[in-house]
Amino acid sequence: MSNEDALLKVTDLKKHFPLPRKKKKQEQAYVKAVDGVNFYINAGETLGIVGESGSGKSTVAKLIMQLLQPTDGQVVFHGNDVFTQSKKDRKQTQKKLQMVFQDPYGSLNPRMTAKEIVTEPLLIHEKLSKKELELRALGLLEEVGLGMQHLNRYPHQFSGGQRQRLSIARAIALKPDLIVCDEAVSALDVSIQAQILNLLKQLQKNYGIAFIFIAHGLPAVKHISDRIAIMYAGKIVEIADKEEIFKNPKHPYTKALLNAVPPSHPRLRKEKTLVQGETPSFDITTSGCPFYNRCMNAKEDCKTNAPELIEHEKHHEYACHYPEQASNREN
Amino acid sequence: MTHDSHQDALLSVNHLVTQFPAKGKKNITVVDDISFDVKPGEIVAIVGESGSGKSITSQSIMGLLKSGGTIANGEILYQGHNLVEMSKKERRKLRGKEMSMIFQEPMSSLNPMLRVKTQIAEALKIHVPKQSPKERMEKVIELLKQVEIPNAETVATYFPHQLSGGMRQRVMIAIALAGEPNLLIADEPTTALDVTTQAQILALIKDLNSRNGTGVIFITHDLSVVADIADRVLVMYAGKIVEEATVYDLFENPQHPYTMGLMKAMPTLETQSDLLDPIPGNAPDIANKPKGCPFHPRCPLATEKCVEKIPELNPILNDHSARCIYPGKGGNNHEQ
Repeated sequence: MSNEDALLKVTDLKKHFPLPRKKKKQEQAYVKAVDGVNFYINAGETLGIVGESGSGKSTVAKLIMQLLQPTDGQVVFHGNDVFTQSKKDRKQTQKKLQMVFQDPYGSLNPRMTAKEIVTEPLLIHEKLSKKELELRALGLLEEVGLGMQHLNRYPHQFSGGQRQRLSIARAIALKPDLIVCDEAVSALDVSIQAQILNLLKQLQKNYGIAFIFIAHGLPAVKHISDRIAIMYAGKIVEIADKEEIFKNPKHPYTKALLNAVPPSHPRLRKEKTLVQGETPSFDITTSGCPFYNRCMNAKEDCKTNAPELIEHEKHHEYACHYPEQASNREN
Repeated sequence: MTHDSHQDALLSVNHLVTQFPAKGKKNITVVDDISFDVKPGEIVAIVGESGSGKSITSQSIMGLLKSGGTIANGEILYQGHNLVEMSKKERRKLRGKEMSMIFQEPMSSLNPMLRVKTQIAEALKIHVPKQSPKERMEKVIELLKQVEIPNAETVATYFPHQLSGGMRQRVMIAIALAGEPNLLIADEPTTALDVTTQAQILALIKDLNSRNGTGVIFITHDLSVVADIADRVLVMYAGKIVEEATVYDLFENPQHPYTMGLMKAMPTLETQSDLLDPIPGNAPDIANKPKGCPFHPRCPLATEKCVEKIPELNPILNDHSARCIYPGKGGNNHEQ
């Protein structure tokens, strides 16, 4: 990877889950949820990760957060490998690396008040008096558009959008450098989704927080990201600056994904050339390109020879032997 | 037959009010006096956010209201027959044969213990009882082919867990089509699906609509899906229709500030600006609606007049109406 002083650098990350064996002597089979992923993220930027269900994007998030141990590979944050660092470094990493989940109801303790929720990270990492805590709690709530009247409420007393604001307040409590947002707006109504997207952008502007924004909705990802990575079957198939990926998609899967996005106006309805079939299941291991059987450009060697993710143009990497020719996104 | 104008309609909903009981309180009105028609072969989209009453509208039409929900007022005319006055037995006869429904989560609508072919055959048995088992199986395969399932013969022997989400939704659609209904109600059928699968299912529904002339009520929260599939659109907010138009009119020339707000809040691939324009605040609690126009606390145009009473659904142009006293007036959200 090109960037040496990146905030976070993921190198050859793999996570293989063992499958149950049907017979005693059967060879161990694996689900290759994440299979050799490389990317970096700079301070203060947003990297969008897009992929369909089963592409491994949430597993990547869990690995970065050390909620899972990798099969292989490294995640380097602020120069430390998060999986092998000392206990002391780990505490520092946990402080500067936070996460916001999809379902704000499932990720907030129903028996804690808003104040307790947002100050819990402070209790662990900072020694503050009761009064200081109260002030910080209020400050955090105001930061995300909530107020004094919400301090002593429980999660069930908030609406979905407010709960997501609360999870964000908790995530920014320790002034992190990177927040991983795993489908953070997917469960929200359109009008509320826009509020949360704006809030995230505002926080980034004010505090220079970097985001990894994982989602399956392309328009939202396009809106918030600086760069976008497209995942398919446990691998990144294309990664580039946002404008580049939408104007000049090279991987046939990226093209198919863009094509499948419903139009924003009935005027833009079009006869779509739809990609057939579905994401492959992982227990079938191929030595070739994982997109081979759905790809329109596929040739014989795609079946046996998996393409590598290579930087073909500046800041534009893709893994394909027969990429799409120049810009031909019809509108 | 009450309204002459509805004679050519396949389905005609007039002044429908659906209520749910609340403990120790007045009944909650979830669907509040809505009227619309579906013509044969037309795709009508109902768009709204959670709590707008769009799903309850469809459940009222299908006669599938749960938790004590009742139709308190209004009529639902299917080919001129009022469904509200029908007995349970009569309604059951219509369900599946005349009108079918598909749901958001195909896994919970399919029986996990039965093979795909058994579940489709079950639907056929009810609607076409005089078929021989062999004929019925042939029909099952034909239905699976109609919803574009590859290797239909093999897939027919699968259990639901062996299928992907998109395939399950196709099986659901095959079951819904078994009785050859004239009206298909699709309640967020693609919300749980991936974007490439969503595109496939939308194309399939469009295709069935144009091939068989099936009328479709398509319920969704996603305006871009509406832009893709609908002929006509109803926008719902807090139990009421706030705007009704053909799909082109709605997107070209939205009239209600809520519709405009939704369009501005929706990120699209074409959006250029740095910040989106969200609608401030939250959707109202349906049991505790604000006085007057339910949208006024979030509306950039609201004045005292809006608090006084709910505006009527007024015609703007032919086939285009909006429930607002300041229709078509910008709707710029300056504050967040």
